[in-house]
Amino acid sequence: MFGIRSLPGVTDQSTDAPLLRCSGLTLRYGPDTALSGVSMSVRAGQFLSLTGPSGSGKSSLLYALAGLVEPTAGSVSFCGTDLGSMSGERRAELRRECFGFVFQSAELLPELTIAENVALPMELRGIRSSVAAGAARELLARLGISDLAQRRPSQVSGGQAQRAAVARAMVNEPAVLFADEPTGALDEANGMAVVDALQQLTRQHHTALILVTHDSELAARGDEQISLRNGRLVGREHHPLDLANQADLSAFPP
Amino acid sequence: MTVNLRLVCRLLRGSGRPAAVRLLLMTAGVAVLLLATFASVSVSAGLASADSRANSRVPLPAASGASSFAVDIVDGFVGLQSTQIVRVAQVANAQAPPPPPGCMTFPEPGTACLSPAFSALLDVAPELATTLGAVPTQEIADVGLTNPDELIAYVRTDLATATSGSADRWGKRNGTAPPLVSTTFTSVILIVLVGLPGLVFLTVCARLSAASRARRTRTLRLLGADVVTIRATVAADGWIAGVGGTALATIAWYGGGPLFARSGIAGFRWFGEDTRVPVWVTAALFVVVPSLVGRVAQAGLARTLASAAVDRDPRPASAARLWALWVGAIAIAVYFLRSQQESLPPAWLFLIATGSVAAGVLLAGRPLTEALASWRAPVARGPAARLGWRRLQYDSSTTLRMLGGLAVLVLVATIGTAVGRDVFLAVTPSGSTIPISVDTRAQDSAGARAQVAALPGSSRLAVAAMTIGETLRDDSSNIATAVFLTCADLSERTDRNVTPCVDGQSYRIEDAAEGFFSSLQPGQHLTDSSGANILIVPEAVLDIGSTGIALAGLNGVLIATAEPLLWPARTLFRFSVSNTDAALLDFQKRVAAIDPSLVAAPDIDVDGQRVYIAITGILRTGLILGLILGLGAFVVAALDRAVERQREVAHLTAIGARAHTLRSAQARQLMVGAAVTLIPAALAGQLIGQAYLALSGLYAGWYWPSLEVGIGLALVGCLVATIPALALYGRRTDYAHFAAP
Repeated sequence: MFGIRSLPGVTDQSTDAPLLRCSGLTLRYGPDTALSGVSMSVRAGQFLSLTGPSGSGKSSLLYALAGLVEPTAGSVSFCGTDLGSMSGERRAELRRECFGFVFQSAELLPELTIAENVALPMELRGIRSSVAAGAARELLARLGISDLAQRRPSQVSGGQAQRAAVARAMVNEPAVLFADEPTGALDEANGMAVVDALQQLTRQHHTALILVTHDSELAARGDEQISLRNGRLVGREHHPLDLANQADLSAFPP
Repeated sequence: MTVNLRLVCRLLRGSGRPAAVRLLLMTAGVAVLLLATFASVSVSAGLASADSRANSRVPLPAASGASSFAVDIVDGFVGLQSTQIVRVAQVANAQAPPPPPGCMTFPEPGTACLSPAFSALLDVAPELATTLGAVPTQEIADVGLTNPDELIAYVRTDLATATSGSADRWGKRNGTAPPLVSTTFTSVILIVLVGLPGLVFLTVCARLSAASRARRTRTLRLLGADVVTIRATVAADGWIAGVGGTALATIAWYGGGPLFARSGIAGFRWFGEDTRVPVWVTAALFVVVPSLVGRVAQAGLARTLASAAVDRDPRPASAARLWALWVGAIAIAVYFLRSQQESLPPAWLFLIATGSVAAGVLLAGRPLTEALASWRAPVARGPAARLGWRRLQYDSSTTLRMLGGLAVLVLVATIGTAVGRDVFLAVTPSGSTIPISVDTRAQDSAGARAQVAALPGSSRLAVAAMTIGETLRDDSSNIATAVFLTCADLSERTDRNVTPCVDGQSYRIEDAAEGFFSSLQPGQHLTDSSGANILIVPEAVLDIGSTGIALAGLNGVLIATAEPLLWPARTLFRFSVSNTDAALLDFQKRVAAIDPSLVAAPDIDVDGQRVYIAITGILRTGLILGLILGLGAFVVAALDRAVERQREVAHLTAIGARAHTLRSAQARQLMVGAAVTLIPAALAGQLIGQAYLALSGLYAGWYWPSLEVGIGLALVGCLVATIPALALYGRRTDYAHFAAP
């Protein structure tokens, strides 16, 4: 076992130390600069919104923080450990153990049922299929889509698939959940339901949520909002915790 | 409606790296397919050219009756290679005869004009040069040869020995001579062995990246593009690949075709000029191939257009696809039951049984795979197993399309091996030894006869026989034969103790009781044409069992002695020599060393041998090309699938899937698919091949080597094609794949 979950800050939720930090992060694709000298940090349980116009570098920052792309310069550290010093296999284990992902489209595997898709990250960690299936069932029930468990992704709506994707991202109770415009392909009601689910589940598990969005209303729901333009960090706002805006999972549309 | 060419070109230009890879794969695939086609056609062309050359060097009699030369053609063998010695003699007082085809001049007395292969053979076996009775002074040019390996010699001799006929020129006889191998047979074999895998290969190449192209088609349809333009966008890269592949193949064949012809890869060689593709054929290919590739690429387009707004899941395979298998299983069972009861099951039953089994195996792959996967997927342990099974359950057609070429190849290779065995049995003595005769009936020297009798090698198996039947009865089925050998040798030959055999005694062989000797009285004297007593019919009868002594034409008297003094002067010695080229050649050298005029002729059908070489060459070429195409289809499809799965793999990698989990899922998917398609294909091929052998009646029992070939091909194919495909998985995560499609 790699033991990433035992890193300080991952399970010790009382600490105020940054869970994820980047410093002087620069990312270039050939002649194009996607990110330029970005520094920021995320604490455990924090809801951070990344906003900015298209091409501002939001998604690039998200994937750099997740260790999916190698920065051209600067560093990203998780619980004090530099991701650049980790091998590809260790970074994969970090994503498996500590990170969750929700993409713009659900990206569920078309061959697996909804329940199997949700259980997959647990199985990838080596957890027994029966245990993973139980956890998947429980999450699907909490998200109000337990009746879809045996359907395949092509047999459910976009909103339902995206909620299943949220369940898949949360099934391992990750320390950080990365969401790349998860409501981009959904209508307002379904989009809100997905973000409510994200927010509710991440709060329950004290999971840090990094949400990339164009939607200013959604962005405002975060504890902190970071704005990017042309790959540079141009704004940072802190929002007080709005308890009234907490999601009610029972209110999810079917 | 007109094609929006600008849009087509724009889509082609801007399709990105995966599309470029696909175009390259398609182009390479078309080139490989065309090269295989050229090679197949070249085999036929080589054989047809050999027939034509052989038919164009016939000694033709003079219309006026004034012949200028006499000719005598003797077919024989050196080792296991057939030879043709053409003895020629100039007619006295006639005009100068024309040189034989390929020779510079009519051979001078005491000289010979040899093919280069014959010259090379005599270089390594100079003992055989004396058997020609002439000194080689010329070599035959290609124009006078059927193939580069032909062993032919024009030997100048005196008029008395050239007795087959007289002629005044070399040329083509009137009428059409039958080809060495039927053109229909060649076509059928090559169509089955090369054409079927080639069709699968073409389909795979033309339908690469079907899923992403279907997405593009749906988008264009939703945007209101007309059908003609959509068809053009779908077919455009097929046209380009068709033109590029045809150009590549033509260039490659122009340079490599002659090398292929002379490589001997087919088991025989032919001339480079026979591989030339006519200009009009090349021009036609540049039109036909691109349009064909473009047409195949449009398969399934109607369905995509009909569901423009929906990314439909593949439909489950219909259970009706199992019908052919059931019919085939019943028909093949009936066939084998009847073959047990009858000597020859009817041909129509063979066709129904084998056709249904072959079609059944190919059609049943999908429903069987999907049924197996839907049974196993829910109880699979671990993500790799589950993913592999689920992919097979819901998208088996992709995997089976990849395996389709290999399945056809395994099927035809297994059948081909059995057919090849049948052909071999039809023309060549089976077993590890081959009978060879040394005729000393014209030999005056008792010493030479004694030396022949004492030839080593297979001497313990040597049998000396005296053929007297031709002087007594003009019926070849009743030739009387006297066999001379010791009782010990007899026991060895019959693989049992023959009693009561006593050396020094003569016996009638019980098997011959119904034959020639049944009409003769014990003690009767047999005489030859000169009136000399050569044999007294013995009283004692010896049972040598049903195995006989493996001596063709044995129907007579066994004299239990190896003493040369007891042998008659006119003796045809028959030996058993190891059935290899080297052993046979060694034996012939020894005979030639005793007396160059002695001929050591193996009991091989010369024409049959040539046909056998041609047929096995066709089979071998077909199998090799089929293997290339089958593997090519697998590799191309696997690589394309790996490219298509990059997006899914990227997302799986993002959520922490290990590379080996992805590879394991892929490997399971391929291996299960292979097990469900290739092994039944090998078994079906075995059944069909066995049915063929039963039909021909030349081979008793089950012929397992064909199954070994099928299973071996299946394993090799899977390994060779799976390893590079697996290596692509999980190598690299492309950031671009995280963007929404």
